[in-house]
Amino acid sequence: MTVRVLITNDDGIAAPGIQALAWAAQQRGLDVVVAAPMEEASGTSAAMSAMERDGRVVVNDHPLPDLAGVPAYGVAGSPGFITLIALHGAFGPPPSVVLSGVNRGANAGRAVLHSGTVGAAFTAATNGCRAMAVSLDVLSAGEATAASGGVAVDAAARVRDAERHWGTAARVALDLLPRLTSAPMESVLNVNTPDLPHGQLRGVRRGTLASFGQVQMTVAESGHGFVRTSLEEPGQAAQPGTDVALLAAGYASVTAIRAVSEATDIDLTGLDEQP
Amino acid sequence: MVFAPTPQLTVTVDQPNDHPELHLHPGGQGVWQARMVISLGVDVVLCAALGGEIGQVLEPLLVSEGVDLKVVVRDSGSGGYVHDRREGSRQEIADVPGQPLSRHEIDELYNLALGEGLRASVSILSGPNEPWLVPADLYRRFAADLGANGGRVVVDLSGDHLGSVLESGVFFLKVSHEELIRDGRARSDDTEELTRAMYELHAGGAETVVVSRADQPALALIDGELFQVEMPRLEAADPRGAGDSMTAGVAAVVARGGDIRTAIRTGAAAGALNVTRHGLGTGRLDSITGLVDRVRLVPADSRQQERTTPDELAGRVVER
Repeated sequence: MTVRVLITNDDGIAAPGIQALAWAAQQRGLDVVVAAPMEEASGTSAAMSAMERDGRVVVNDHPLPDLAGVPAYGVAGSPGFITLIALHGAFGPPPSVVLSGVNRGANAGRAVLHSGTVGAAFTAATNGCRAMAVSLDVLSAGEATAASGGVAVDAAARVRDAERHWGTAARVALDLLPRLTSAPMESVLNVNTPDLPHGQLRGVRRGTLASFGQVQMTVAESGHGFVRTSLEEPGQAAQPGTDVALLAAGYASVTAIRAVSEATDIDLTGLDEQP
Repeated sequence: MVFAPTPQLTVTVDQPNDHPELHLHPGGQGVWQARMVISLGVDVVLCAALGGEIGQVLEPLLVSEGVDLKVVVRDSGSGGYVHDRREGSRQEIADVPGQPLSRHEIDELYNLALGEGLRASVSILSGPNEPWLVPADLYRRFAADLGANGGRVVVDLSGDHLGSVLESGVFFLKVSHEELIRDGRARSDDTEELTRAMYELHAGGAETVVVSRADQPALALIDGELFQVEMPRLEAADPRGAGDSMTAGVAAVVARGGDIRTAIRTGAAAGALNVTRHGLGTGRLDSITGLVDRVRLVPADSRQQERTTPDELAGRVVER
């Protein structure tokens, strides 16, 4: 049976990354449905927020270019919200896999807690659906890498979206799909790819979670719209073997992560003896 | 519904061969927009105020354009212009702007157009030929009343009229880079500067924004993402009117239930064809349709990607 896939993101339905991911999924013969926030929702984690009009969630048909026949919706809600309602049949039969991305900017290290891209994947996993979060490290463009401390950031920041390598991230993600579908249900694969042509990738490696890492957020500047920001701890030399270090070295990184889970190694014994 | 408060009579003297010709047409932004909407196969109700001798001539001319014309009769005369094109380029002989709409005329036109606008899925609020003919605040009220009742408002305005209509919010705004600079919304025609202005317009109330640039591809801000509208180059015969085609193309496609990307690509195609011939607001449906597929929306965002630390975020708290 064809795998049914929900493609979502936190950059918004019009973002180029979701287009690339949906296209790649369709090329692999998957049954694709796209539902994503109407506008950017970076840094929303697994938030449950939505806008209704007359008691109904606002949903617009939003056909994507070059994806005729793929149902695509812009939803006035957060990525986590969209994922949850999709699993309950809001956009046709529930998906068996959720692919979230391709995000504009890396989501690496423990800071993925805050990521809307990862939040959608966590929401899926928590509700019994396999999921992958996919991000493109836009700050790694050209010679600028996370390890270069942003020396070449100005140059990298001027790269137009059309010139970024969304397709590289989408291809890496879909190549990992068989590993996802054979993994335990509650696991999420978090995939980060440098902004490079696929042929220039040094490979795909398993990364450990950097202690803080990097997450994308937006800051609304009054009267100036939104400013995209990469939130990261400064002065940390990339710890070897982490997702951040792999990206800086030109590798795509994949980390298996798990959302809310019980910690059984905490001593909470003896509570039933108290009044 | 096309709101055209002050249509003009355009008189053009031309001489393509031995004998001079005299062309009489209704004109003004709303009329040109309406003409293009009709050529895209969508019915138009045109609401206008007409008066005097010029108004009497304009009325049958407007009807012959194929619009469903709704008129408020004015006490003062409509405006118009006379152009001489015998030397190849347009020479202005006379320009008669007309009188500002009176209080009574404004009220009557507003009621008429609002009634029609509430019945239409899309309303184009076109500007007066001179800003002082119609008060800007009328556009704010109009957009508020239509928007609150599910109507989609499409505009190509600048100056005070743009500022007013944004207060109520619009579905689609087309504006030129010259107008952005003239209004002080952009400091230069630099792409980055125009992009910044577009995000501000979006934050200020325009859902979708298209900025036309004279000889560079237009920029479109759709669902918060920036695109460049790339299309095949056609040799321009008359650079005026491409903006009206964009606005009308968007309105026509959205009125038929089309999505905003197709709408903008159609508007761009209509604009490209319009400039290849004289006569504002012309363009044949089949030739436009053929060109739409060749118009591409290319992701163009290159907004500054900032880097922040948690400490910096904490430091941004305003001192108490």
